[in-house]
Amino acid sequence: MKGTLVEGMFFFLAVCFFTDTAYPDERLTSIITVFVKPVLSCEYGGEGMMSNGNMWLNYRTQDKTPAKLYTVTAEI
Amino acid sequence: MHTKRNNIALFSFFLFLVFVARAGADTATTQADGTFDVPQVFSIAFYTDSNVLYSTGIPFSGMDSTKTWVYADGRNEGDGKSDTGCVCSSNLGVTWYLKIHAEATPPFSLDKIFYYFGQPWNRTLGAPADGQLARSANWYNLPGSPTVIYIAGNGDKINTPDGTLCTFSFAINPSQLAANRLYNCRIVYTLTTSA
Repeated sequence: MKGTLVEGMFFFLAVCFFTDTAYPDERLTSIITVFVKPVLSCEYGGEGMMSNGNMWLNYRTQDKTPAKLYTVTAEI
Repeated sequence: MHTKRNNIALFSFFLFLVFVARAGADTATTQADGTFDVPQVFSIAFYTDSNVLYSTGIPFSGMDSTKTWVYADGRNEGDGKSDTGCVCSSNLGVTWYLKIHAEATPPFSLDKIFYYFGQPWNRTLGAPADGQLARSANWYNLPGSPTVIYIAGNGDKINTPDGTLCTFSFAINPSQLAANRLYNCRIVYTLTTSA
């Protein structure tokens, strides 16, 4: 009899628990897609005069990363 | 004798009146006991209009990697629009929560994506929703796990039929992303009754 009472209490608590959490989560999803366009243009970076009398000009790509520093030498 | 006949006539007339009155007083009463079974509503759905541009897909095409802050296609700074909108509907009468998180596919990383979320709009009441933003309206990095961004107010607990509209804008930092390749990031909106 005592066991039946305890089991009944557990059943009641279980029913209360599942009743309280009976609403499943609802979800939506968006996918962000990113496409980066290629950059292959230059901007003026500086100028100077070389010892042989030629002028040097620096240009670099637009992403401004030092690793992509290009030097263009123009002869005057 | 004459009086007796009059009394009989009067009594007969009285009986006639009672009969007529009872016949007119008869009323047919029908009682119908109605039971209303209102189905539970707890749902989240995309919303789009001329100011809420996207739903399942948000394109960031032709991004310029010389910039550090770009918006989705067709968006500009302060244009008054949103990228996505989610309508959260409930008639459960309990507090619900809206959560958001993102799952980035490497090499794209979550530090490059931001979201903006302002006060939602209760479409049923035609007024700003009375719930609480978890953080003030601003730009934030997207979290990697479901995180509460809005706690329903009293007006949101039963907001059927039109629900509460939650709108989002997104921004990307495309610097240091290689050109000519596609990056993906999944945004997940979760409507839940558990905080």
